[in-house]
Amino acid sequence: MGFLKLEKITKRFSGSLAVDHLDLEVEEGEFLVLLGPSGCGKTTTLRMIAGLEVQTEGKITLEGKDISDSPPERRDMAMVFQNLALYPHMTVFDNIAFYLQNIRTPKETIEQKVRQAARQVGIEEFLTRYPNQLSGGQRQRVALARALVRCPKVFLLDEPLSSLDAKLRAGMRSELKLLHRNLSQSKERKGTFIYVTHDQVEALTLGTRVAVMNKGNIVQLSTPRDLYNKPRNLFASTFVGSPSMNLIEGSLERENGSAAFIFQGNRIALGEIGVAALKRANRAQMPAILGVRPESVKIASPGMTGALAAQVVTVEPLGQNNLINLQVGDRMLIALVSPDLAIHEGENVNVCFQPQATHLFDPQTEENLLG
Amino acid sequence: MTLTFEQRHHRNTTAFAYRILLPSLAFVLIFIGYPLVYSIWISFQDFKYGVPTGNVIWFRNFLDILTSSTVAPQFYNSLLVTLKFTVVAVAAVVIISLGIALIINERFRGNDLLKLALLLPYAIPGPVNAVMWNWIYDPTFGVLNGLLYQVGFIKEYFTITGNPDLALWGIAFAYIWKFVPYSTFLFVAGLSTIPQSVYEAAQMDCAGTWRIFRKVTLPLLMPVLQMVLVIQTIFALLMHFGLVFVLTRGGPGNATSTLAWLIYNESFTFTQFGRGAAMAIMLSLIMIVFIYLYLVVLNPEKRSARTQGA
Amino acid sequence: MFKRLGFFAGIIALIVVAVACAPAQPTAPAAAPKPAEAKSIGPVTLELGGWTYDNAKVMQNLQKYQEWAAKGTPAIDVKVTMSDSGYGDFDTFVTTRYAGGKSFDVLYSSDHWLAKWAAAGWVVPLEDHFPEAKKYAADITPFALQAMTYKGKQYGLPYYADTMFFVYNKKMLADAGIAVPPTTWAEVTQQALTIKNKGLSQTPVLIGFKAGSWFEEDLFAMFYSEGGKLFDDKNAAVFETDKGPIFDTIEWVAKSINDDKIMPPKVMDMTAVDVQQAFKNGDAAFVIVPGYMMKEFNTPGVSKIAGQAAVSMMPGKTHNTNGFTRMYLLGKGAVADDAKKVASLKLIEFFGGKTTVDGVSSYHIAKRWSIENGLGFAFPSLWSDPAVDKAFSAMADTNVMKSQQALAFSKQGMTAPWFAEWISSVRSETQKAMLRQAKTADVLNGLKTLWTSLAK
Repeated sequence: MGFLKLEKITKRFSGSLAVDHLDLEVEEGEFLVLLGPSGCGKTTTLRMIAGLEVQTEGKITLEGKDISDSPPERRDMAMVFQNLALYPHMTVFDNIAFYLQNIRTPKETIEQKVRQAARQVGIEEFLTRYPNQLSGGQRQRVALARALVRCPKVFLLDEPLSSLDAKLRAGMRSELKLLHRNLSQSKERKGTFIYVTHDQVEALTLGTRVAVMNKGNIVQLSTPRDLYNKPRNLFASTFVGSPSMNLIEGSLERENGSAAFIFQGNRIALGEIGVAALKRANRAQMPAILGVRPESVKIASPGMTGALAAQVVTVEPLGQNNLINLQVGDRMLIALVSPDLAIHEGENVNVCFQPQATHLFDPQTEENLLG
Repeated sequence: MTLTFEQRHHRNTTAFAYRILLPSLAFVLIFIGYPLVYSIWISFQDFKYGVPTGNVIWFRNFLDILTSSTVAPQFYNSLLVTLKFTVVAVAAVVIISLGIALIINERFRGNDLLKLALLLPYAIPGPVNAVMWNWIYDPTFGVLNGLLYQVGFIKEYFTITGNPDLALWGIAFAYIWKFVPYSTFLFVAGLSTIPQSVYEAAQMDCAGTWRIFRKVTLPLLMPVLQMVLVIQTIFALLMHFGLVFVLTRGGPGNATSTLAWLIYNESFTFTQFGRGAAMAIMLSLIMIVFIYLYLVVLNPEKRSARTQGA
Repeated sequence: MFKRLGFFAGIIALIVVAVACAPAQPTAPAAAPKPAEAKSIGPVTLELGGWTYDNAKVMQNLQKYQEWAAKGTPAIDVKVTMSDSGYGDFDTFVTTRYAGGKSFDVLYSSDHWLAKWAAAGWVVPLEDHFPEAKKYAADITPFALQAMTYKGKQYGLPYYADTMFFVYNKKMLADAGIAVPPTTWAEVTQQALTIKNKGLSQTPVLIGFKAGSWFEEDLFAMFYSEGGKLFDDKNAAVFETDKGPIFDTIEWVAKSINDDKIMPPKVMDMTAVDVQQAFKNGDAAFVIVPGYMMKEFNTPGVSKIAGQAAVSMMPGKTHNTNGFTRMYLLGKGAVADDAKKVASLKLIEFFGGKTTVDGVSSYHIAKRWSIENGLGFAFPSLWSDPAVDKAFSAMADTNVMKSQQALAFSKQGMTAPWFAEWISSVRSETQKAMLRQAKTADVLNGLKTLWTSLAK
C-alpha cells in the first residue's frame, strides 16, 4: 500500500476537465516529479493533494487514511508556491515561524526550530530582514525554510525555481537534491517530495520518479532513466529530451527473418527490435513511426551500407556538441555530434543509427510498439 | 521652444524642475494659499452684524469661542456631538465596509450584482440622500414608521430625528449608509493586491480564518486602512452637514448641533464671520490631530520594528 | 508618504471649511449718482430677491408692474429679474449674497430679519428715499407698522401680514360632545384628553416645534395669549424665569408631551407644514396656524376635513396673539443708481402700496393675495372691500378673525440685531425644557443671561 495514494481523481472547472481519472501512488521518502506542459493538470493535481482544491471525484489517502475531505491544515503537508507567497509584512523569522506560532508552539522551541531550518538553507543571517530586502535566491530559501520547519509528511513544490535566473536555478536544483537526500535518510520522518515542473532538466535531475502528464492524466510514470530510454509513447518521447527526438513516418516490414523500416525508398535495417515489434503486433507489415534521439544519429563515411544519404543544412555549435540539421529526402533530422567532427554546411554525408537506439511507435495509438 | 535631449540633459535639473512646476505652484498659491490665508485673516477680525468693524482683534475670536459665556457652551456641546458622531461613523463605516469588501473579495455567484447594488447609495447625491432619509424618518408618513408598524414592532408612530437621544444616530445611520460603498471599494481594491497564494500559504500554515485576517489580511491592508481612516474622518467631520441641515437643523435641543452646523450658523445666521472662520480653523486642527494619530498609531513599519525590538 | 498625505489632507480640509465661511470684503460705496433729468427713465433692470411662493402669480404681478411703469410719469422702461430660494433658507440666501459683495434692488423680508439686515446696511430706510411711505402708516395695522420699523425709521411696505390663530376641528369637538372650543390652556388639556380618550385622535394637539422660524411664531403666540411680555421698548429682557406666562407656557407644553400625552414627542420633529398636513388629514383637534391656512383647510380635495376647520380666539388669560409681517425692502444696491432707485421705489409701491391701475385705485396686489391665496393683509381698510369680505367669509368666521387681529403683537425683541442669534438658542434650549431634559427655570435664566450678554 502506497504512502500517498490518489485514486481516480477527477477535477472539473466549470465544464472543462483539468484532471481526468488520475491514479497515482507515492512512496514515503521519494522525490516524485509531475512533469508536463502548461495546462496538463499537474498543478491542479498538486493543489488537490494539498487540499487547496477539492477533487470533483476520486479519493486521496495518506498513510491509509482517507483525507479526501480534509482541509489543508489537517493534512500535515507543506507547500512551496510558484510565486513563493512569502508574507511581505513579516520578517524572515516570522515567515518561517508562522506555522509554529499558529499551532502554539512554545517560544523557545520556535526559536530553535526556526534557526535550524534557516541554517539548513543558509539564511540564518537574514532572519530580521523583510522579504523585499532579499534577493530572489534568498527569498527562495525562505520559502523552503518555511516548509522545512514543519517536518511535514509531504513537501509540495509548485515550480519553485521558475522565478530564478538560469544560473541560480542550477545551483538551487542541486541544493534541493541534497536536501531531499538528507531528509529521506532521516530516521523519524522521511522527507517525501512532490514536485511540479514543466522543465525536463529539473525533472530528470531531481526526481526519483517522474510522472509525465498530458491532458489531465499521467502518460508515463517511471525513473528518469527509463523515461529517457524507454518512452512509452510519442508524447513522452518528444516532451523529454532536448533537442527533441527525431520522428520519421514510414512502414515496418519483415524481411528474411529480420525486419526493416522503409520510408521514401530508404531502408533501415532494425534486426531483432523490428522483428519483436512485428511479432508483438502479430503482423508482417505495418505503418510505424521511427524515433531516434539526436545523439544517436551517427554521421558515417559516404557509401557505407545501411546508411541514409543526407545533406548538411546548418551546423550550430553548442560548445560541448554541435547540432547538425540534416535533410534526408524531404525530412529534416537533427543530430548531436562531437565538435571534433569536421562537417560543413552544404556537405553530403551519410547517417545511420544503431537499432538499439531506435524506438518504434504505432502512428494510430501513439504507443511504443515494444511496450 | 523645443529642447534637444542634449540641452535638456545639461540643464540645471533643479531649476528646470521648478520651471516645470511653476504653473502648478501658481495654481496652488492662488486657489489654496490665498483662501487659506484670507480665512485666517477673517478669523482675526471683529464683525458686528455682518460687517467687519475694522478692528483686528487677533485671537480674540478664538478666545471667545473657548471661554465666553455666549459661545463657549455651544462650542463645547458641538465639539462633543461632533466627536461622538465622528468616532461612531468612522468606526461603523470602516468595519462595515471592510466586512463587505471581504465578502466581495470571495468569488461567488451574484458577486457582480452585489457590487452594483453597493454603488447605489454612493451614486445618490448628498442633498437627495438627505431628503430621502427625511422621508424615511418622517414621524407621520415615514416609510420606517410604516414598516415597523406593519410588522407590529411599534404600536405608535415615533420620531427619530425629534428625539434627542436618537437624532444623532439617525443622522449617523443615513451617513453610514451613504459612505460605506466608497470605503468598500477602496478596501476591495486593497484586497485585490494581496495574492491568493498568500492566503493559501497561511492556510497551509494552519492559521484559522480569524488568524489569517488578523495576521495576514489586516497588516497587508494597513496602507489602505490608513487612507480610508483619513478620508472617512475628514468626511465624517464635514459631510454630515447636509443631513443635519435637512433632517434636524441642529435639534432637538442641541442634540445634533455639530461643529459644521455651528460654523454655518455662526457665519450665515448670526453673520459672525470672524467667529465662524475661527471655528473652521479649529475644526481643521481637530482633523489634523485625528490624521496624525492614525499615522502614528497605525504605522506598520514602526510597529514591526517594536515587536522585533530593533 | 502618509505623513505628507495627512498634512495636505488637513490643509485641504481647512481650506474647504474656511473658504465656505469667508465673506467678501464689503465694497466701498459708489460715487454719488448724477440727478436724472430725462422725462423717461431706462431701460433699467432690477433684481428682486424673494422666497419661493406661488411664483406664477408673482411673475404676473411683475409683468403688470412693468406695464404700469411704462405708462407712468415719468415713463420707466424696466425689467425685473427675480432670484428666489426657499423661505426657510432665505436669510442664508440673502446673507450669502451680501457677504459675497452683491446686492438686491428690492427684496422680500420677514419682520425678524429686518434688524439684522438693516444693521448690516444691506437694506436702507424706505422713508429716506420715499417720504410718501409715511403716508401709508396711518392705514397699516400697528403690529405690522412696528415690524417694518427699525430705529424709528420705516423700511418697507407690507407684502402681507397675518396672525397666528387657534384653529380647531369642529366635527371632532362635536363628536366628543364638546360644545364650546377652549378658552384657556387648561381647557385645551381637558378637551384634548376627552378627545383622546374617546379615540377620536391620538394626537389631539399639534404644534410644530422643529427648529425653524415657525418655532417662534408658535411660541410667541402662546406667550402672548397668557399676557406674556418678553422685552420692553428698549429691548431689555423683562420676563420672569421661574413663574409667569412664559414659564407657564413652556411648562404646559412639557406637561402635554410628557404627562398628559395630548401632544406626541414627534412635535419636536414637525415643521409648520407637517402640522398643517396632519390637521388636513384629520389627525388633530387643535393647531396653531397662520390665518392664511384657513383657505387650504376648508378647500375640498386639498383637505380631508374641508368645512370642519374653524378659528377660535387664542386660549389664555388675554387671548393676545403673535402677528407677523412680510415686507418689501429697498436694497442698498438700488440707491446707488438714480434710474434703479426710481424704478425700485415704484416697484415697492406697486406691490406694497395703493396704486391706480386702469382707473381703479386700490391695494391691488395685497388684495389679490388675500382674495386668491387667503393671505392676511396689513391694511384694515381692505375689510370693507366686498370681494375681500366674501373671500374670507367663505373660509372662516371673519368676526373672530378681526377680533384676533386686533389683539396681535409683533415679536418683541426682534428689532435687536442679535435676535437671530438669541432665537437660535431659544429653539434649542426650549426644546430641552419641553422634553424635560432641562428645567424650565434654568432654561429661561440662561436665555435671559444670553440676551443680556449678546446686547453688550
